[in-house]
Amino acid sequence: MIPVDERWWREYRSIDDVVVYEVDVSEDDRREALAAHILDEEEWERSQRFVFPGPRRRFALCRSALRSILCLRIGCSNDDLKLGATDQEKPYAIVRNEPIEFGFNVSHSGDYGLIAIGEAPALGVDVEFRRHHPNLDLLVSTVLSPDEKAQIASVNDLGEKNNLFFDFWTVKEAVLKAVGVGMSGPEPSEIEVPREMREGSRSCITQFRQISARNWRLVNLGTSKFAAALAYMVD
Amino acid sequence: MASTADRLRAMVSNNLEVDGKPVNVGDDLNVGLTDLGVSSVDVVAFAKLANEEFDLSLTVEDCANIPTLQALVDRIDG
Ligand SMILES: CC(C)(COP(=O)(O)OP(=O)(O)OC[C@H]1O[C@@H](n2cnc3c(N)ncnc32)[C@H](O)[C@@H]1OP(=O)(O)O)[C@@H](O)C(=O)NCCC(=O)NCCS
Repeated sequence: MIPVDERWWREYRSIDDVVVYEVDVSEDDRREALAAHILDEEEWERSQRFVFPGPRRRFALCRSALRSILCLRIGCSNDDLKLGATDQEKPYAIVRNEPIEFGFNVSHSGDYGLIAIGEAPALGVDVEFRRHHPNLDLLVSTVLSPDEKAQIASVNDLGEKNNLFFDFWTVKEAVLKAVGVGMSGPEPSEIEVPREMREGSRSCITQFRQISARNWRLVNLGTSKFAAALAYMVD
Repeated sequence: MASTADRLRAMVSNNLEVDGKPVNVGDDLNVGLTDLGVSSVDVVAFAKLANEEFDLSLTVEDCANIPTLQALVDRIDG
């Protein structure tokens, strides 16, 4: 187990029963070496298939942090924990052949990683480091709803347009990742960010009829450095 | 006229970035978007751009499921 003061993850927020951890995925050879020992063989092989060092590092540091967090929460050893994946690639935990019921999800972008863990199995998190996207107009026209497009069109500053785009995108992705449908689910443009969140509210309860009649809690976890959102089903 | 492989290579390096650097795939196109570490927001843009460039009608799901860039070249030329 990695001693507390050497961990590259720390608790970032807790909302209801959901705990969100922030993972520092910036370059650090020592941490990467430690992480490599936590991954199982399949995960290590996957890490070696990445062509570029950045994605390899983000995967290894987040996956090893996830393993460590799950082991503590479940009370099992790293060797007893297996991470399976659904047909759509959503990871789930299995301990000694028994699937674990609670929800967790991982996201990484640039130097930032987030891991969310909570009771609801339908739980998703998404992070995107803030940047100017070279294909912003194309993305706006493809993945946003008419009202979201209108809001971005009403802003003049390009930086602000990019910020708003990533704020909206991460909410959509968090919802789609919670459902676990991958790229075969509803179109991102159909998952509209609720008006109150588009107007600045950091959290809300809402429904997405095209997914189910259940309520969702959406939380904006973003900062000036990254856009991020958490989504989970509530009763 | 440039080959499909060259046009795809140019499309990738002009539109996909990893850690702020354009993705240069070199001669070997037997690599997938997942192994390149391309994020889902870029896969969405990539699907749109590939459709425009090569007159295709790929969905984002199709694009994510294409195992390698070479497989995409084969599909376009095939
Ligand atoms: C796979 C997918 C989640 C990756 O998104 P991304 O923004 O590039 O990457 P993120 O860093 O946010 O998330 C990656 C993590 O999500 C998890 N994940 C993978 N597939 C998932 C799925 N179907 N559902 C939920 N989580 C998933 C994995 O833990 C993965 O981490 P790992 O690669 O370290 O194992 C995304 O491509 C996807 O399928 N999104 C679903 C929503 C959607 O259809 N969006 C529009 C089309 S792209």
